[in-house]
Amino acid sequence: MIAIRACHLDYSYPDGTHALKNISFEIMEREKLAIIGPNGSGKSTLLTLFNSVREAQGELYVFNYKLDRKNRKTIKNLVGLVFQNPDDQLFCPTIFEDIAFGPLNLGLNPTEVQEAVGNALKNVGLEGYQDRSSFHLSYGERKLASIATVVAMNPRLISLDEPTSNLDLAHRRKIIQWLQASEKTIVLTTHDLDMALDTCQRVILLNQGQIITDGKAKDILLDQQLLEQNDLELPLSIQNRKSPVL
Amino acid sequence: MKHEFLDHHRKGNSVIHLADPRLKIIMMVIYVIVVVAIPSNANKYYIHLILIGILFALISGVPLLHYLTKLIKIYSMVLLIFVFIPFFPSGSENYYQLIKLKIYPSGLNKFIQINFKTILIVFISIILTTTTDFMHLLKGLEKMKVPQVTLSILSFMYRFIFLIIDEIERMIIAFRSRYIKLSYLNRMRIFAKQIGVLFIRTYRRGEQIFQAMESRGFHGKIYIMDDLYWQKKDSYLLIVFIFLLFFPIFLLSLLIA
Repeated sequence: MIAIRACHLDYSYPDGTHALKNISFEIMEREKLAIIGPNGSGKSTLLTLFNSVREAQGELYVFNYKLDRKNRKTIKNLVGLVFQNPDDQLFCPTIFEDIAFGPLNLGLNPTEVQEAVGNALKNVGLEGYQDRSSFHLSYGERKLASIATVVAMNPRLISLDEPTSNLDLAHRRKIIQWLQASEKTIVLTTHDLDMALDTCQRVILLNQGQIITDGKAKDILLDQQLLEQNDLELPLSIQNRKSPVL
Repeated sequence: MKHEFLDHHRKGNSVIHLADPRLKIIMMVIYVIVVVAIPSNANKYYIHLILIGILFALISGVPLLHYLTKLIKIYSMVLLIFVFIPFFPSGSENYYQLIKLKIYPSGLNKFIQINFKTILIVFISIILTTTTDFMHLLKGLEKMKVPQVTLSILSFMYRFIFLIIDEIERMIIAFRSRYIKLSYLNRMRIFAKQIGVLFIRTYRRGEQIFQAMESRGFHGKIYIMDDLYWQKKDSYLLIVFIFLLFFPIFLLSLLIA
């Protein structure tokens, strides 16, 4: 099944910045896709369209639902969005309340909410954290908790904006393991090309609001010339393999 | 949002903490009506109302100093509204001269009255907000049929307090990191300019949080897991409160009779 079908998407910010220019692509269900590109290329803007946080010109279908006013609520239930800054995602006094926020909005009863929160915490490896306040957690734990807020809603597609940015190695590894184990459709934006190589089968390279290339992760992420033309570099793991042994 | 100190007394085991938020709202409304309605010459009744406020503050188990600090902060802002009253006469009357300012006795009297009433109302509101989880307060208001729009506004207002503090902290750190010794006036100039920036930054962060809420199915209604149940003890507490509040009036009417 096609999870996302984007046809001629075009988006400009109110200040006139043309963020996305005539973008078309498809994402299949259970596919793991990384959107890469330099700063300001339109990655995060594109990601927020899937959850209808922003509305672009053109047509966007999410699991065959056309994104319009009528289907907005259904699409929000199908697509979970994890923001780059976990402090934007966690706004309640306790982790429990933060994770329960989504399931409560879905209309689940208290028992189901309890269960959803418990499962989400277990899923991201934060069991026992429900009564803690987000401001007592480390950045990495907050990032995991913000993923749990979305997992608790059991969406069919999870989109993540820079999931490994500012993380220490241990938490980065945890998120990579979670991404690898997840059976959901995953769309993420990232500058961490090693993580993209480890977790995603497919990559879309964006630059200046346009798709430069769309293909297999290994083909794109190992193409040094293509990456350098777009202000990117080969993943560090590949660079290390190429560099002579001292 | 790491400002637990703003409402860290919201959880507690006192009778006041455990009372239904609706009861606390009702008690506060009755108290406010009584404070507003009492005549200006009922000085003894003011003392009675102060004692009731203090009694509730003591029962709540929250340190009085905490209430007092909050009271001073809020009162200093409210004071600006009526600080000029002593300078306005109600008719032609004598006045006291204080340097170049004319203070009228009627204005001064009104000022003292409003002061007392304000302090009492602010004090009882602080007891309510300190001892009640904000989300439960919203739930209580929802159960009392307060429109959803009002609840949403209150909810966002609450979140914005934390956001503004967050942003102020960040800006102060950024300022201090490049701080060169400046005169007080120059520092104030910089701060004045930063206020505009602060509101833009807070607005942007608020928008991002709203997007995060919207992306998780928020569409204007606040859902709270714990439902509220009015218990017998809430009814008893209400009766005790009304009795305490009106006891002097009842006693006076008996004496007159």
